[in-house]
Amino acid sequence: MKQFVTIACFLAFFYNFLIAADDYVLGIDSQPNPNIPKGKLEKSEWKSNIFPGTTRDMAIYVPAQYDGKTPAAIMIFQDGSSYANEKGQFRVPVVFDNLIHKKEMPVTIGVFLNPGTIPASNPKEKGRSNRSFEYDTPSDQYATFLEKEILPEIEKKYNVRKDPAGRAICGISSGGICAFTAAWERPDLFGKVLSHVGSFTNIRGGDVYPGLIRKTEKKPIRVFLQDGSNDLDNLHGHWPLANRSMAAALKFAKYDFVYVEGDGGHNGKHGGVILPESLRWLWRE
Amino acid sequence: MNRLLSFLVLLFICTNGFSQDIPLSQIIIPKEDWKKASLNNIDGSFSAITSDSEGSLFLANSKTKSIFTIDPMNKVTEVVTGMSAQALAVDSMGGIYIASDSNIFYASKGNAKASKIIDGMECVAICTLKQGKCYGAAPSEKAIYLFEKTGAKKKVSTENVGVISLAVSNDETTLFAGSTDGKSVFTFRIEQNGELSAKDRYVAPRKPREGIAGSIPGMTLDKANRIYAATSLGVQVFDPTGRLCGVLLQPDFPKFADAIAFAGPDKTTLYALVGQKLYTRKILFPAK
Repeated sequence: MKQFVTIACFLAFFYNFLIAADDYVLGIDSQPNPNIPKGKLEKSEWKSNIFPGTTRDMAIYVPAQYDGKTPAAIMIFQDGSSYANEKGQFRVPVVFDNLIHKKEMPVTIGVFLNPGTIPASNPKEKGRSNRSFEYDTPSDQYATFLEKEILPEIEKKYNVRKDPAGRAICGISSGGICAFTAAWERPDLFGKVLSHVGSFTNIRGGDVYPGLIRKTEKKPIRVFLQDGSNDLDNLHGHWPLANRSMAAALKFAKYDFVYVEGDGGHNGKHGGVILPESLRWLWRE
Repeated sequence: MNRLLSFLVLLFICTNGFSQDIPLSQIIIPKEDWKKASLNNIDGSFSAITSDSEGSLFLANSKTKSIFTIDPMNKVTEVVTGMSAQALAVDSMGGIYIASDSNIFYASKGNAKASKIIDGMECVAICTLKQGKCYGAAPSEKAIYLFEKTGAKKKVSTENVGVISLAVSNDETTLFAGSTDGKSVFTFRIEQNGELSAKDRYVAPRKPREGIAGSIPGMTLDKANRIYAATSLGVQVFDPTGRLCGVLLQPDFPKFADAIAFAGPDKTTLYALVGQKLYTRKILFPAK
């Protein structure tokens, strides 16, 4: 009996991991190449006023090809540290090094933002995460944060493009819907969206987008959506259905979009493997 | 084998019981509904409830003008006499803060007579910090006060919208404040001196039905810092990051709860004050 319970517990806990094939392997463009120029990653911390009291880690990738004379494109990543990790599922700095060197995407400054935390006044206690509030809320607050705080900071330091087609925004899970929301609310700021296993579900009302897209005049946004058929199905919604519904709405409204569905779960494996291809598509002329 | 089993069960509880993606099915008990509270034939019209860390429920009885407790063994004791109340809170010493007739009173443990500590402050919700300070919601002033039993008071927040209910996170780092319009539960960072900062509309409850005034008159937390907010739609439950887990239906439809509190032997009984009647419901998760 105990053995049965143990096995049942094991299977229940690892169910999601067991049912998904998720056997994706990173390609050559996700591997470091010692023979090409390597960009630099500078880390810092940001204290926000738009999200009062929050602090967050931030990192800026500057490609070796950036000369300060020609305005560089800019791409902002939510949950930035996972995207910036050179040994992680996405390895954005490595992919950027490779694609920029091959001229398969423009010279692009990468901005990696973690969600905010409100530190506890008592140092013995944990801070409160502001992630869901910042990412899942379908409002213009996050776009305003980028517009008023982050973009000016980048523009102060670097010569970057200010046209929406020269700015992309990307995220995974709640960061995916956050990226879409920022462009949806402010297409004058962001013209390109890359969403990995995006949470277009009812976490905080984000399931409204398919309906909004269908009944709103088309906005000048290019959208790449990725999900997996074994993604989450929980109280907030069914991720694959939600992403399919987004794709159907984008198709209906004649957006420039791609939807790629693998067989993975709620992680960045598939999205990481197809990241080079996603970036080529997103940044194509 | 036993160790592995214990580990897996613990892992399951940690990853499910206290994780954020908790559906209602992991909060409510099947076939367990709201029940009218049986109060040992206490005849009363109740105007306020709260609970202490031991699981005792405190009730203000406006009919008998008294405040009494029901301890986890269901023993009823009158603790304060000669007082009705709009709001109650119990501090870590067992003393009771009472908002009554636009004044704040305090009755130390074992003292049936409450003393007035603040004159002219109309609070509809009070919550206490371990250090002895209290927050009071004064919606008529659209303000939150910080006060002490010495009578010292300070306005620590002024809102565009009034707040009508308050709850403090278990680690006392965050104050949750329910708005009078029912659209938001605001959060504040609690500074070391009790002052409030970093206000935001952290939680957005489901909107009330058309034509029904929205409000969040009562709020409490469970052990995992999930927020139970009494609203006109029912008791809306949010995870600690402010995401809606689900809605418990009204105890006495279409009437809704004015105040809620966890109490009972294992602190898994959710008490709801509806009008002047008290309802109870067992929940899977206890309060801290």
